[in-house]
Amino acid sequence: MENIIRTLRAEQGWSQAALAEQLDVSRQSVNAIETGKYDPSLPLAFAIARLFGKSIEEVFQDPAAPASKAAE
Amino acid sequence: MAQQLGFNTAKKRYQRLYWPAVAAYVAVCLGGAVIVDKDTSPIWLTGTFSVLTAAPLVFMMWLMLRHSEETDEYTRLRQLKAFARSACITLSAIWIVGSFQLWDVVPGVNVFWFGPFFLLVYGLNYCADNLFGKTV
Repeated sequence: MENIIRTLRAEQGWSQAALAEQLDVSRQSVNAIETGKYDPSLPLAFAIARLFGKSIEEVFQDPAAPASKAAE
Repeated sequence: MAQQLGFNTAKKRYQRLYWPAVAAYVAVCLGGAVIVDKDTSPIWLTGTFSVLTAAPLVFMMWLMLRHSEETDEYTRLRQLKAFARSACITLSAIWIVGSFQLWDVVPGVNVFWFGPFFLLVYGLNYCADNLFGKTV
């Protein structure tokens, strides 16, 4: 699963550690999610989206989704 | 089963009990070295110190499992993967060494040392995931 967390975090000027602190996860967790090594559970994905004031679909994208659907 | 509390709370709860357990273990080891003489001490004394030495280690294993249940999901996944791998490696080592002992190829090896071996392999596995692992 792809995501734009690194971009959103940079816009806020937060470090990985600062984001991890707000989500109450380890810094390694944030790094793993950002780099695509780990796909978060739905509750954590919702928490991330809520923190940035976005919907889950805006933060996380399914690379397997058809291009036409993604463009809608 | 303990509920997930989050990384920071789980870490604090783990460390609050971990360091006293380490202190207790060190105190018992030092106390045993001073008080117990394997050749002359009565069996009840050596037995008591055996139990006292093992107790903090058993407690720490329970603490590790509780921490895994309480911490955040990614840390839990890494810990449990490392736990499973190190358990398999340690059991394999026990079976290999045990087979050698069964056929009298090697003399007796103290079973105690498989404990530190397990923790060493666990630590290496946990770090290796950080360096090389693609988790999901």
